[in-house]
Amino acid sequence: MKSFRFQAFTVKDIVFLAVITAVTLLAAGPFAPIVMTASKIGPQAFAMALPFALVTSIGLRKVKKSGSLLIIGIFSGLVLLLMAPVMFFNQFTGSLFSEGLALLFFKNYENRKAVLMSSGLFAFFTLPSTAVVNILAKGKSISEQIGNPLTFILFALGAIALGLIGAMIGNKISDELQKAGKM
Amino acid sequence: MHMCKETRDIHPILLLVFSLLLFVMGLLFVKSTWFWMYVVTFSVLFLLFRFEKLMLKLIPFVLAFGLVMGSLTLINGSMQDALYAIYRVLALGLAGVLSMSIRPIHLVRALNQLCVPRWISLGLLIVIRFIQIFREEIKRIRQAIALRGIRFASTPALWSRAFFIPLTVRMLSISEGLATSLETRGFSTDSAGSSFEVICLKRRDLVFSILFLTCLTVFAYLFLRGH
Repeated sequence: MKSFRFQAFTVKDIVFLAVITAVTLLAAGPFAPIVMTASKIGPQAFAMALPFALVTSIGLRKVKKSGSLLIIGIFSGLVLLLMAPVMFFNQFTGSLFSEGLALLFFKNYENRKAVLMSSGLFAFFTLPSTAVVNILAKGKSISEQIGNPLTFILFALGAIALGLIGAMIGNKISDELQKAGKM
Repeated sequence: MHMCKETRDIHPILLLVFSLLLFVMGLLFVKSTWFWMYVVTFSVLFLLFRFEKLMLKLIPFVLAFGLVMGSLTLINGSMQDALYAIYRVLALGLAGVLSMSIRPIHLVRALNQLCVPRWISLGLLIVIRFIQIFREEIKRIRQAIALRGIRFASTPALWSRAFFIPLTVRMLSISEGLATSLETRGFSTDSAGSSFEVICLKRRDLVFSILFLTCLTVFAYLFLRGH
């Protein structure tokens, strides 16, 4: 029966999620210059969508507990806090919203679609917090941040599409490893 | 017995909080005419407290990133906007000096002393430590792929398979080994831990805090007065 349940995290779960976070940050590393130089909102989420979704979906397939993505978001946010403080809020809210939405629809991670949705929308859900932080810290209005609306919509849709593709690849890798008895 | 060592390091929690303050306030002050004074004041303060090595390391990054940001802003904006973009990078650089001087193990110990849940401090330490380990792993996997003659440009699907599957297997085996090793040492997420070293507030921390907050208050006053 589908139901929402919260299970306590073991040391093994925490260690695996932390290792997944380290690899996620490494995988996203090559895209960091795009994120740091983009003056408009959208390209950041677009660039980060694929690596974030791919690696985090593997993490969610292994640790199928509610709150796993939020833990990845907290860990990556804490590390990024040491480099760019605003990134913490970005990661935290992104993981909170995407996991919240996935669990709202699917209740738990037993359904593969929940993993797909949760990790696939992670990057997309960093957009609202980026906008809020830019308004508060840089005084940039929403229209200033968006620039050309069509470009923004394309970047946002691209972030969703790339996120879902990344999550599908991550699920495929997990399937292969499950068949081989490694997961 | 817990020892409170006399070191030159500033308390990690203070560094983290001050780094956040410096960055957020810096972004607020960017459009003020005295922003350069803000940068100079805190640079002098950092030099006084021996952050010079880290400052030297960060200078090339700040220069390169500042120039890129400035040039990109210049495409759509004015010279003034480009200058503000460079100022924002300077604010990031200043905050980076403090946050990057934090030793991960000191931060974890300080977080434990503040009764932050152990899973957070453990996770943070693992992420910081394992970024370097996995960088090496990724290098080895890529070398193995190259040795087998697989090229991303010609066979992207095969390359991705040859890259991600061994990487995931390594992630699983490393985390499995680490978790077992932690559990056999009696580590659990719900028990209180102990520490070899106590991170305590020293006179140096106090002096740094007073000077830092005084400078910040002066600039906040100038900002509020509309100078």
